[in-house]
Amino acid sequence: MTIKGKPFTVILVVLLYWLLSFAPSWLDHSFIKTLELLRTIGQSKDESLVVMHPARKIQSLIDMKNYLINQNDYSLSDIAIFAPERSSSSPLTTDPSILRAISYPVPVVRDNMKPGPFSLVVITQESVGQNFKSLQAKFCKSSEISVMNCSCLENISWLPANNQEVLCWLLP
Amino acid sequence: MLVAALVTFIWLLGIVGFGFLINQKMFRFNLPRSFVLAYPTGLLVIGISAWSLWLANVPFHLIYSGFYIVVLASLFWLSKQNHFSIRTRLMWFEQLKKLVTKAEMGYLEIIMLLIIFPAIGLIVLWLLLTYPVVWDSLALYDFRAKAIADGWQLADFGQQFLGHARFAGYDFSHPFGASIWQAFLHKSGWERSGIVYIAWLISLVLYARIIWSKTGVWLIFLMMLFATKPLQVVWTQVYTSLPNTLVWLTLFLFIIDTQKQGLIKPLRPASSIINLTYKLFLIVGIIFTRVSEPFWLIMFLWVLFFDIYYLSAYKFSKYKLLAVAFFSLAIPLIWFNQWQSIQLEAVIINPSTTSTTSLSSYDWSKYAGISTIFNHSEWWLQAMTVWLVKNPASSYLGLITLLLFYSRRCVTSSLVKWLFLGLLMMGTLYFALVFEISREIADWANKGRLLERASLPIVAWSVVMITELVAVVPELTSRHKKLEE
Repeated sequence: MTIKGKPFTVILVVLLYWLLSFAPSWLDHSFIKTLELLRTIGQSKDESLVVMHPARKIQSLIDMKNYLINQNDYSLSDIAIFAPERSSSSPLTTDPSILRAISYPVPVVRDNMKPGPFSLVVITQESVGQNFKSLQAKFCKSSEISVMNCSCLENISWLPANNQEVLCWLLP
Repeated sequence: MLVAALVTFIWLLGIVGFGFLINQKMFRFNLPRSFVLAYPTGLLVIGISAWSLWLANVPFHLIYSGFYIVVLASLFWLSKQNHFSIRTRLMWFEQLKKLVTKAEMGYLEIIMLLIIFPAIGLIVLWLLLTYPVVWDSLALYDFRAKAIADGWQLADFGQQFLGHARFAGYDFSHPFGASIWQAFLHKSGWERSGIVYIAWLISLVLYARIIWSKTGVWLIFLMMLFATKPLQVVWTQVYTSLPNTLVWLTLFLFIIDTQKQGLIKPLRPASSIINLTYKLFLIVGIIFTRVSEPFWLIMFLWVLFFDIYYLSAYKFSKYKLLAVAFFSLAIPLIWFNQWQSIQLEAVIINPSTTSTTSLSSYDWSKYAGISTIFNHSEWWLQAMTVWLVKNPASSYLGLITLLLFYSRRCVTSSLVKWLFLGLLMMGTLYFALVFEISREIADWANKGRLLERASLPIVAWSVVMITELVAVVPELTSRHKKLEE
């Protein structure tokens, strides 16, 4: 590779083209990625999630998962988090796909996927839309539900099976 | 954490050993090529085999244990061979040192190195240290990987959102290839699963060095690979685009490599057949990782016609060669059939399901409305505007045009002529036709995001072609001048 030869000129042409066409967007993107890298190094996956998706709902979903994993009253296989309807073709904060990815290994289901009643059904406002009126996370015992005495719900007709308890989880 | 790191490291090293063995024994590559292509070959063979076993309902913990034993055995076997004796290892080290330091460095090469080192460093650190938490990598590819590692079978994915019309096809929207690879890492206890692609990137860096021995040319390849935004986005997102682009790049490099070897000395017929097999193997790898864009079909036909035409000079039976090629294609087709049937069974054959999957480009009925576009002149205007402005491939194609112009003559290699036109036309037609034309005519602007991913095979081809042009244009121009004199 000689400096005065033709290869030098061709490489120079390509470098100049790179400088004009590729360099600005690459530098801009590198800056963003470097910042993100610095902010997520050494963090747990949940912490990285919050950094990369700063919406407060993500933090709340992580809290919900940790709450469900750490409670001792129900086994994970007896819990069903109800997935919301998908409102867009792109994943959103409360999309079923994001919900299940964050809450894993707590199962996320929709409609009648699992046979038999669940011991605990977890719902969010996105899961049930207008049927949700709680201002805070709240447990409803099965006895309360049967007499329509569960203050976080207006209508329970959508619930897939009877004799379960309901956790209403409020997302910010 | 340390145990997981160690288990993962041995696994990744074992893939190199396993791939090296296959390259030596099956594909009969020479020693340097066997080594630099070891990881891609090993990973693809393990991935495709594991996928087949998983589709056949073999529990994943058995698949994982089985392949772990295989890669450990490969390492053990290799350690007994001459390749890894202390003397040979020293020789390898010397060769590697020579490969890196033999360069005559001018100002431009030093400038390029100063750009390339941080660019590569950022990408390697990103894959090494971050979790896949960007949307689809989190919600789809890595989720599937974790679930597979925990024992989910294909039907489990189908059952989860039964009756959820807008969501049912999500898990099936891309082949499970990337997820299978990442599942091996999750099973090893390593959650930063993007790490699986680092060694492949390094393989490409080394393979390019073998193909283009001039340092400046090689550095141009690295610049295009690591210091441009479209590919940097791909390397840091850990979507299926990442492994898919890696396979495309390997295939294009392999084609250039075999062409260059053929120029030096005619290939022996036996090695030509092995090369054809390796190309078909890589095409299966493309299908294995991402299938939404039917570019692989062009590549398949291209390899089929040109290689068989070339091999026919050696009086091989064309029918036998065609049989080999179609048999290679039959394997992925059988997979797809099974994959689709389980998917459709799982969502109770909901007609909207196929449109939610990325397989919609294979729904031939969508191409029936092709005549509609001829009635809309504004459609062509918008389409070409998006192609030229929003398409990340356009900058690369612009550089190719510039280099061709610079060479003062058209480089008429078959690769340029057919792939350029074929990919371009396929890409435009794909985006024009797979969506409902009437709805999408005014929506070209929104197609930019999808166009980025669909254009990646063109970007990969462009990166290889730009480098090859940088290598051959000076020779062409000097030959042209001599002829003029």
